[in-house]
Amino acid sequence: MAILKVKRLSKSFGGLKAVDSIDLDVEEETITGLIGPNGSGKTTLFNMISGVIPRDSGEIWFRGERIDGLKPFEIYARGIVRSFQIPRLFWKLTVLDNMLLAARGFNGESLVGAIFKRGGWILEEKRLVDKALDILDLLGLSDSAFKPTYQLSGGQMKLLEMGRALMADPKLLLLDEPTAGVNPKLAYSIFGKIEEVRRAYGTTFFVIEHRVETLFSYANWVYVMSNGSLIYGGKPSGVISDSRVQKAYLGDIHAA
Amino acid sequence: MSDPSIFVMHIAFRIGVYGIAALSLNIEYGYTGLSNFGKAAFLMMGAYTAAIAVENGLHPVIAIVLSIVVAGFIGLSASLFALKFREDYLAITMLAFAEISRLILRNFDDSVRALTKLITGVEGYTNIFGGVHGKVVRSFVSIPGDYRLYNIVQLTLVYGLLASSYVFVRLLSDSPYGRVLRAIREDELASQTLGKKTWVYKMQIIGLGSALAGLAGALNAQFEGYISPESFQPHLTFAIWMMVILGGVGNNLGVLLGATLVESIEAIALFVKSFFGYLPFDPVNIQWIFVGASIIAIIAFKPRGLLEERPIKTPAVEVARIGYTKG
Repeated sequence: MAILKVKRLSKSFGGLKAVDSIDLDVEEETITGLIGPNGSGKTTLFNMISGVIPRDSGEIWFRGERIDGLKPFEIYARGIVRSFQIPRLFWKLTVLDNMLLAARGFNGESLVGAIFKRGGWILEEKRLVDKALDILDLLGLSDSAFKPTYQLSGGQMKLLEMGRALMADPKLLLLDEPTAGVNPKLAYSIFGKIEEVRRAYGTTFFVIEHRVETLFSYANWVYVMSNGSLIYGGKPSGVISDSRVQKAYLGDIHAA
Repeated sequence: MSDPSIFVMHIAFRIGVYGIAALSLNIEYGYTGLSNFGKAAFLMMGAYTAAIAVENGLHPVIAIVLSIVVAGFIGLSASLFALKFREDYLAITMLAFAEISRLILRNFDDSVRALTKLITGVEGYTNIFGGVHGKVVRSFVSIPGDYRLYNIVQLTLVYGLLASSYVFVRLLSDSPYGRVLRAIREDELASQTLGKKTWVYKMQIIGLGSALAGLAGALNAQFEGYISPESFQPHLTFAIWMMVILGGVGNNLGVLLGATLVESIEAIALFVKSFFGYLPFDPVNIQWIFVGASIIAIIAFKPRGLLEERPIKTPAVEVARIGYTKG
């Protein structure tokens, strides 16, 4: 069953059609990949799904409910959590604080709760700290739990963004280039973690990725975008032989 | 002043009052990243509210509560439009808001008088805010004859309220709520994608910060005994900013240290001025050179202030941290 349905979704910036009437489905509990040359509109699509920028036209459906036009926090409340291409972490806070911030429905985060219901949130936070440390352990970050976030390496920042998203028990996780700037070996291990999480929690992953070879060893389904349009949707095995994809990545070889 | 202890007590009182004001800016700017350059306006509103309240025979406790509520409420209303702007625009908007409020207060009575005459032809009489002439404020404390005891009671009042404000601000900043505030400061958009209604937090903080500033304004007004719109010009705002930047942005003890430093420099200048008689320069002007030089020194050598921000301490995190360092 499709957890996410995008119908004729469009977005223009001035005269540029960044996303041009896209239709796609993301099936539940899959790892669905989204690839395409730079500037093909992948991140714009993610920005619209997560509510960070408004769409021009079209519809976005999540678990049978229309979510286009909702605010980022409302989309988060429905179970979609995203990461950013360039990690957007809370740099001066510790790794553990970054994790705790993603927790859902934490009473200590309300003004009245923080001051007058201390007993309530102190217990709640104990449970959340344990959960956060478990996730950090899974991602191999537990040694850094009390470090300020700006001290992490690039790869660790990527992992922390994913960990922070996991802290929110997402139904659908939008990952924008989880392995950018990471060495190939670590890239495989990041995807290994994604697969582990998918099996353990039944999370659906929709992943923008340029490391095609890594993505294809894990993805169940792949979409390819070029110049704002969707040019391929199918099994990863069929991508390489598709003539439109070849043209998008390599140019028109016959024209030369 | 024949009794030097009165001078010292006066300075101690001001440190207490501006300590409260600096704490209020610290929750806004230090934790949440909101550049409130309209701080003086909220001290002014607290001051005038308290003045009018005691003038009408209300009990000092009620006057204090009223100034907190009025300043907090106006802060909350101002944030409704001010928070739509980005950080730098927020600073300018609040600065303009403060100046407009000050000018309205200064011209309110005259304008009402003129309007009444224009409409009814009769010379009206209103004197709510006192216009340019300002307003005499009755003290919250009345102990005739014993000036030392009077000062001790005043100091107990201001330091009691400073301690309560400090505890309140600490409870707020060392909690999951305070963690969200810092997340908003670091990256507001990322906080929103993690489900935080960031504008609710920002409104609450401007409201609370303004309420605390109102308290500081009220305490100062009744101690000084006189207020006028001219006492609430932008340089008052800048002085509070200097306390926060000098002492340590995001560190509550730090901003109290900052308040102590800035006020002490002012005290030394006043002391030099009144005890050395004629000097070829005015020490009161020299004090700003001192404050300016220390700001430059701090930014060059200790950009995070004298006391740096520490990590958030909540019970569960502390337990985990201790477990981590032992393991």
